Formats: sequence, structure tokens, C-alpha cells
Amino acid sequence: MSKTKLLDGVKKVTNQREFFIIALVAVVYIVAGSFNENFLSKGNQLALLMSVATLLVLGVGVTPLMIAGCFDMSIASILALSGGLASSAAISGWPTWACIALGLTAGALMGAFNGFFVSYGEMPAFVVTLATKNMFRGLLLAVTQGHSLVGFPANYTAIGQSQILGIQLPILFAAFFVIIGAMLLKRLRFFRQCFFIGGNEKAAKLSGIRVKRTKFLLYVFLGIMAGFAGIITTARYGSCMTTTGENMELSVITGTIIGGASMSGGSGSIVGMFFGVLLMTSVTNIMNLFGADIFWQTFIEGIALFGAICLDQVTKMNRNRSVRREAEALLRKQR
Amino acid sequence: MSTYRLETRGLSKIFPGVVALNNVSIGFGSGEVHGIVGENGAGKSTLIMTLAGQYKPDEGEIRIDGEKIVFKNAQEAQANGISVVFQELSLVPNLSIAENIFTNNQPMTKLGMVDWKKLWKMGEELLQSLQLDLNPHTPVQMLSSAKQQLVEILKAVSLKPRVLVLDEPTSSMTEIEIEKLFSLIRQLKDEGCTIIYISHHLKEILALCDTVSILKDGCHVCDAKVEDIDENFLISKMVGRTVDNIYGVRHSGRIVPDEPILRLENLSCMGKFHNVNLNVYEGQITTLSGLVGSGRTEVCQCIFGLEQPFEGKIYYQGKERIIKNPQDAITLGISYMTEDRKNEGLYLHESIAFNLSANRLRTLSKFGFIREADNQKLAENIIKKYNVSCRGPQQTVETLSGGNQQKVMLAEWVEIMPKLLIVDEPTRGIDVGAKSEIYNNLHALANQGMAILVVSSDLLEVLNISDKIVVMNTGTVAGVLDAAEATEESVLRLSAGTLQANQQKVGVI
Repeated sequence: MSKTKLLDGVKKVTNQREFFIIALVAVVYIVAGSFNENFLSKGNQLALLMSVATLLVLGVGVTPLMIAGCFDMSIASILALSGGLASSAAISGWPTWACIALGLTAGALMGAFNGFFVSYGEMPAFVVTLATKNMFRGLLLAVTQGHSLVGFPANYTAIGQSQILGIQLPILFAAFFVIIGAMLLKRLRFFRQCFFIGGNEKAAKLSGIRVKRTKFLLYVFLGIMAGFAGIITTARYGSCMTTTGENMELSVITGTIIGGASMSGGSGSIVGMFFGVLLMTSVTNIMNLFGADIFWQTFIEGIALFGAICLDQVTKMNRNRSVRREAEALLRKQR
Repeated sequence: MSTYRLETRGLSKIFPGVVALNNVSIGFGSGEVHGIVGENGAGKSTLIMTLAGQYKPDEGEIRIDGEKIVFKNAQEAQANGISVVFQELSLVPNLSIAENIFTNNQPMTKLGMVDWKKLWKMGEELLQSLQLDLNPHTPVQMLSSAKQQLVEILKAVSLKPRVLVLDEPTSSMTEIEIEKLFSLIRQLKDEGCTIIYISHHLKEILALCDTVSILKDGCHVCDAKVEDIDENFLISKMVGRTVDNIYGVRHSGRIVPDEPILRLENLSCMGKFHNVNLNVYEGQITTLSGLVGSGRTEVCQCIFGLEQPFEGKIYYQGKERIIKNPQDAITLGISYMTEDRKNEGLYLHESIAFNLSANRLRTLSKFGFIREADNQKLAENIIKKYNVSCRGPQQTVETLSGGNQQKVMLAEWVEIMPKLLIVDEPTRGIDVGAKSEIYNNLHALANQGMAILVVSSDLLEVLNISDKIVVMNTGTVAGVLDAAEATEESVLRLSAGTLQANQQKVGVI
């Protein structure tokens, strides 16, 4: 009896999508750590976390949006434009808090623009955000005439470069958002609604959930997160280029999907997103450490995403089969 | 033993939660018009889908000219000479009539290009054979829906099928088109084609068919030659299950208030329903009866704020109300349980507890945080109260039987304690045991003074649980019957109407 209970418990844990990805990351860490002691060193791990910090901040915004079944291609452009606005305000001598406020507001407004047309305008999310991706980055390009913004005051660069207890600030920001996000995603009513909308949008509407408003606010939330990511990115590098953050949206979305989010919505988690992003980046990191051909990196990322989709499909087919078996058994008994 | 053109032997099809076809054996002879009748959910659609190669049967086989055949897909069924015209049109609106007709067999030149000259000519010939005065170049979207339906049928006929299956072909046709369709069918029959004709309009069946097969609850009840039977025979066979008391009883004696809790006054919604007047009283079960597509669901959705009325007024609790969305309706104490459990009602991949929390997230949370423990307790209580057979609150609803899924959905909407409960097809596709439990629940709620509005296509259900029956026909109320006086016949007469009457009403819309 207790044995079956234990087995049930084990099954419950292993059935969680996060379990696979955490196990995979653990395997990668153990294997890489035993072959190369540098990999597990504090320096290397901090460098690794530093390189995922921005992705994680974005991921905290992307995950609830994807759970609700929506999509955003423009996040990296929001990041660049709000980072550019915040840093140029810093150059013109604004106090740091005002720069941050400007960056976050700009991000929120761009998110609101996406959200308005996708949710209230009922336009397809992919196309709308593909357009705004070019609009937002194009604006940065046009205003700066392609030049990089440099020469930020020390107060501003401190956001991205100072350390607390030997840990760089962006890592701490990312940790804060990931932990808070992971705790709130299932508990806070606002985020919980995402699971209903992504699970069955028609049913959510009938249940009295404000589908359009929630989707709109999710885009605004993502915009704010992207704005913040823009501030820490520009502060960290001490510059804002027209290419800042380019292609980051693909890495974040890939990491989120590897972590268990589905493109059709209804599933996903912040913890999964964290390990998904970590998995991709640690593989790159390991390839660097082992002096592997860096040009294979994109290929490996592709394989990782493909593997994740295959895993989901296999799970789905297994589930369908077991649902059917259960139904048939029940009916044959009734007959 | 004579061989049939098309024959099913012991055909069964099971879906999670329901036996859609149960050991069905029917033979269709060549040069025969074979009608199939049955109530909604009797298995007609499943039978057609199986013949069309869209579903694989779980048991049994299909034979053509005595030879056993397995269809892997719809193309194979077509290649074997079976053409099916579904109720939903599959036309491409901006392409011409002729292009649509020959979608699947465009005439080709020797070079493998579309032979346009031939296409237009063949299109013209087909249209003329039906004496339809239409230009084959006309885009389909310019046609009335009745004409579109004819084009859809021509599309199937152009494949020169040996078996033509028509599912409710006349649903949007007027007498003129129906006449054309019938003459086409008779012509095809003379050429030796087998026609399978599915319709709710029993008069059409009797006028057109040679043989009728009756389906009920997935089973094949009987076959009959049309000359031997009449409408009453068909109706009695369609609904004729044993009426042991699954419908429960109500302790009457509750005084019905003078004022209805809900009053609709000349409510109209563009293209969906018009001039609907309706009263719903507390402590009573009011039923909206009528054929599918007569506007019943649309009226309910309008009350629930999913559609905005174009004209007319909604009075609720004595005041005129404008209900903009479901949130407004829920706040006013109105619940609406959808007819489409799988697509609109439940979150199939999620747990019972998750599903039950959907419409009460606000009351389940404190300072914006969901109280997980309360949700769990709620689910446990409901599972006990509604006798949901499951492993626990965390079981995903897709693994439950149809009846238990329905109980979860009903509980979700009843347990927020509405004053007006609207349930759309509350017992569709579920077993008798679960049905009976749901009826008992509805009676108990009415006894407690809840106003209940039921939409139902199940005649016996309508007659046995209602206090008042409102019959809808082509978008408006055809009549209101007191349950004590209503009979199957009086309800059917109002809901089916005569063809003539239907047409006049379509004209009004």
C-alpha cells in the first residue's frame, strides 16, 4: 500500500514537465563538471548566470503571455528602444531614478501598443509584433542615425556593473524576478487567469474572465520587463547600440518552450523557463570551455528546441491514448 | 442472398464517454433513396462520417457490392464512389461556381494544365441539368445560402458517385430549391445511384424516400418501407425508449410568483432570432424546445451577454438591464452552462479543482491571491455532493466519462448560487444514470426557488421535466405550451412546422 503510494508520488513528480528539464540540466552539470573543473568554478558559474540574466528577466514576462496562448516577436526591440531612451536620458543628466522610470514607461507603452492591437483589435499576434519589432528598432536606428550611445554617468552604469557580496547586480535582479515570478504565477489571480485563457479561451470568456483585458495587461507587463531588461543591458555594457539585444526574443521563446510552455497556450512555468534558458546557455558555455567549434552553437540550440517539441508531442500522444483506453474500458464495462 | 450496393455490418464507434454507434447493420440497395432519421445524438452524423472515411469504425465493417472495404481516409471513400455532402458548406467563397463544383476533378489538358474552356462548359451543363439560371463564372459568395447548398450538392454529383449521401440538405432551402433538389435526386435514382438522405423533416423523408432506417441512441431500431408507414410511426420509433422514471419528480405546491424573474420583450438579434417574447419564473423549469438552428442557444447567449440584441428589451428582476458581457450576467446572478462541453465548457487538460474554480476566481482569492486550500475543499465537497466518480480533485477532466464531465460543469455553474440558471442541452451524449442525477438536481434547485431555463432537443426530456415549454421555430417563438397539456405531437408540430410556414418565416428574416 505504502509502496504504491510512494510509486504514485514518484510518478507525480516525474510526470511534471519541469522534472525532465531539471534532470537534463543536472546531467549536463555533472558530466561537464567531472570532465572540466573550471565549469563548476564560482567564476564560470557567475559568468554563465550573468549571460542569462537579461534573458531571464524577459522570460518572466514571456512565460505568462505564452501560457495565455499569445506571442511576442518584438521584445528585443522594446528592450533596445527603452534601453536607448533611458541611457540617453542619463547622458543628458537626468537623475538615475528618472531614467529608470522613463525606460519602464517606454516599455509599458510599447507593450500596450502590441496588446491593444492583438487583443482589442483581434489582429494576429505574430504579424502585429513582427511589424512592431521593426518599428521599434527602426525608430532607434533612425533617431541615433546608427551611432552607438556611449558615455553614461557612473550612477547609471552602476545598475549593471556594481556587485553585492561579489555577485553582480543583474544576476540579483534576475534571481529576484524569477523567484517572485515562480511564486506568484500560480497563486496570483491575475496570472492564474492565463492558464484558463490558454487552456480554453472560449470557456474562459463564458466563465466571466476578462480575456481581452488580461491579454492586454500581459503585453504591458512584458513591455515593462523588457524595458527593465533594456536598462540593465545598456548599463552593464555602458553603451546602447542599434543591435543591442538583437535575436534575444528567439532565445527567450526557445528557452520557455524547452521549459514546458506550449505554443498553443495552457502550460508553462517560470521554473521551467529558468532551466530551459540555463540549459541552452550552459551548453554554449561548455562548448567554449572545451574549445569546441563555436559555429555549432546555433545547430545545438535548434536540436534542443526540436527535442523539446518532440517530447511534448510524445507526451500528448501518450495522454490521448490513455484517455481513450480508460474511456473504452469504462464503456465496455457498462455494456 | 442479394448484395447491397453499400452495406454496414455490426458497425460500432466509441468516443470517450459515449457509444455513438452500437452494432449498426444497414443495407443500401442500388437505385434506392434511403432515408435515415433519428433524434439529435442518435448517431446519424457518426454513421455518415464513418461512411465518408473520416472516422474509423471500432468494430464492424463496410461492404461495397458485397466486398469488404476499409477506408483509410476520405479520399479512399470518394475513390470507391461514395460522395458525402455535409451540412457545413465546403465552398471557397471567392471562387466561381464552376471552379467550386470541379474542385476535386478539374478537367485537364494534355499538358497537365486546367482546361478552362471545358470547365466552364461542364459547369454550364450541370447547372442547366438542374434548370438553374446561373452563370458558372459567378463567385459563390454572391449566391444565397440555398443556392450555395445546391452548388455543394452539384460538387458531389460531379464526381459521378455510386452512393450519394446528403446530410440535412434542405436546412436553408426554400420550396423552389427543394423541388429542384428532389428532381435531381429522382434523376440520379433512375440512373442507378444510391442516395442516402438524412433529414429532420419527416415529410420530406416520406415524400422522397423508398426505405427509412431509424436510429436511436446509437442503435439501429428498424427499417421500413415508406409506403407502409406514416409520420406517427417514425416519431414513435425515434423517441420510443422505455420511460421508466429517470426524469424524477418535483414537489409541486410551491407558489409561482406573479412577476417573472426574466422577461424578454420583442428581443431580436440580427440574423439569429427575432421578436422573441419569453417569461421565466422562479421555482419553475422553463424549456426552450425546437430544432437545432431555431435560435434557442442564441437567445440564451444573448441573455448571458455574449451577443448584443439589435432590438427589444431584457427585464431581469423587474428592471430593464443591458448585459454587456458574461461578467455582468454572473454579477446579476445568471449562470449559463454551454451545450458544447468539450470546446466551450471545460478545460479538458486541467484538473477537476481547476475547472471548478474558473467562474469564481474572485471569490476564491484574497488580496488577489488564490486560496488553494479553499479551492481544494470546494472540489472535494462538490465531488461528494454531485456523486462524481473520480480518483480525486486533481484528476484531469478529460479522463472522466461524459456524464461525470457534465456533472462537473453543472456543479461549476450551480454552486455559484445563481438566481437564474440557464442550461443548454444538459444531458447530451451522457448515460442514463448521469441523466437521472442531473434531472434530480434540476428539480431540487427549482424546489429551492431557482429559476431554470433549459434548452433541449430531447423531446421526452422536454415533456417530463418542464413546467412550461416554449417552442422555437426559425428564429422566433412558435408557441408556448403548458407542460401538463403538451404532447410529443404538439411540440413536434410547432417545432417542425410545415414547409410552407417555415418559408414564410425565413422570408421575414
